[in-house]
Amino acid sequence: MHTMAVSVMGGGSVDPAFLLALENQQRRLRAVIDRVDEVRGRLPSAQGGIWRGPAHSVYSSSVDRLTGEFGTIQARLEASLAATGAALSVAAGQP
Amino acid sequence: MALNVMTPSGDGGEHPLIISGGGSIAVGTDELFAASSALRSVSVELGICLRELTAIDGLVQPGRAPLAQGSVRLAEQGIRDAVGLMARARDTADGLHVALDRSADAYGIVERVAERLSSEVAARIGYGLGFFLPAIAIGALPGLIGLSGIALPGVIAFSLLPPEQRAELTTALQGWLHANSGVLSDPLFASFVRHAVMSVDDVGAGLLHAPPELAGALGLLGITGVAASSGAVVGAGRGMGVLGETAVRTHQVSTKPLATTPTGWDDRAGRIPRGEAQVRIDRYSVGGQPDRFEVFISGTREFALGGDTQPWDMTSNLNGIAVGDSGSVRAVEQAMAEAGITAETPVLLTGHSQGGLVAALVAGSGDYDVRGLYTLGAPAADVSVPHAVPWIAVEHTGDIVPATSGEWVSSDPVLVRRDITGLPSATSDSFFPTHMLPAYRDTAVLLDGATEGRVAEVDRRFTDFTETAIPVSSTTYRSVRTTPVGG
Repeated sequence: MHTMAVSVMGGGSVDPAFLLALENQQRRLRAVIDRVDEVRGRLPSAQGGIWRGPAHSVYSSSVDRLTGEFGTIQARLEASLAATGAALSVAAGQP
Repeated sequence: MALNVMTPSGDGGEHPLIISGGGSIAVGTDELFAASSALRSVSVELGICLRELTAIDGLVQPGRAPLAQGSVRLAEQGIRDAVGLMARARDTADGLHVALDRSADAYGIVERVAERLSSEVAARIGYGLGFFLPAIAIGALPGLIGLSGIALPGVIAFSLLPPEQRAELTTALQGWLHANSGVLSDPLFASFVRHAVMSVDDVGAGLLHAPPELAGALGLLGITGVAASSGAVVGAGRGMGVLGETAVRTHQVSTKPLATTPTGWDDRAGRIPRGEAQVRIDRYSVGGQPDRFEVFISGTREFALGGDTQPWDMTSNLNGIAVGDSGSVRAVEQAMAEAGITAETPVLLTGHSQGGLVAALVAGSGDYDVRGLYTLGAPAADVSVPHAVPWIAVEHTGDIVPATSGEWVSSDPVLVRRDITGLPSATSDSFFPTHMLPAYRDTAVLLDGATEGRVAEVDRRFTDFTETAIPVSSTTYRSVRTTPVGG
């Protein structure tokens, strides 16, 4: 596919396909973040009344860990989204 | 047997629904199955997100914009970190879901083994009692048989007393029942009753010095068992002029337009008649199809074994368990015929106590197009109902009435059990508070919120039945025996 180089502030140039890819990445990352947020809401409670004794400890700590992992995943995805936004700004010549 | 891994936390935690049966070995609480289902869903969703992230990772080539390279690489690193974390989270969710399911399966296996062992031990004790201690066994046998139909000789003698003496004894009995209602509603006592009922033939086999293996084989062949034991009770009663079935006559009490179809399990339980009528039949119309019906059947109304004209009596209870036919079964069939229900008419059946037994017998008869069965506290464990009929059987673990029908050997309903010890509904001013319909309605409310797969599947079948149905009319029926029992 033919792409045309575009001049941007700062003297560099970027082709529209690159900008499109960044926009695409940004949009799809937002969708994934929303979906992960929705999935996190489905996690059962670690403090629920299902088990007691050692079984409850294992279950409870596993669900707690899983909940924590969701937090980390969301933080990484948010960071990636922010970096994508920054790349898009730079590439499009916006400060 | 109580699920001993439960822990108190609110009403659902203290008194959870324990679900078993329905073609699965798994036993657990609705909360456990809901957690397992949620974790499975989380695992599947994370798998989808992983595929999407992997696809996103290849979208942008950093080399194409030198000034944006740092940010692009940061974004790329964030995506790759998330992919790794997400894969681990998916595996954790999957592992937890599998562990919960396995624990439910394992508990089901343990419970079955424990029940079998308990039955075996009870049978051996019964056999040994009959074999070695005939005098004690002869004394114990009527009592054990009585557990499947209340101690026969005493009750027969009671039924034959003049009314004033019966009233005196009734008052004394009421006092005793009140004083002992806690024990009578104890899950352990109900469990004892269930095992005792299953061991009646073994006492008899021991008495006859029959080989234990023969007693077991006869049980497997259905020659002995709860029905046969109850049959012996009925036979003995008939010999003494009671427990003989009579003809019944059924007539309409009222009919009125029906506003709504049932919205759930509690709504259905609330439609079981409690006044003069014993049966309620609701009619629905469905465009382009034959009308369909729901039948609601009440529990025992009269506890005498003879002299009464009430088809919902102990005679019907014992004959229903023993021979699969009773005045109340015939009364329901008459009401169904009167309503226009034929072998081809789609019908749902709901019943409490004896009403549940009758509903199961009607469903098991094969004479009707039964699309679903819902029983509460029914002594129906020995009734054979085709597995294709979706069936929710609700039992309180401290309710001795379902326990009098023994263990679930003939059918495999989705069995929903609940220990309601200590709840207000279990401490009401009645002899068997755990058996009362209000207590079962309390449990039905929890059932309405249950998401466990087997419960949800039966719920779906019931909902499908009424989804496109337009409520038409609600008719109640009352039935009487044409002659008193033993009259």
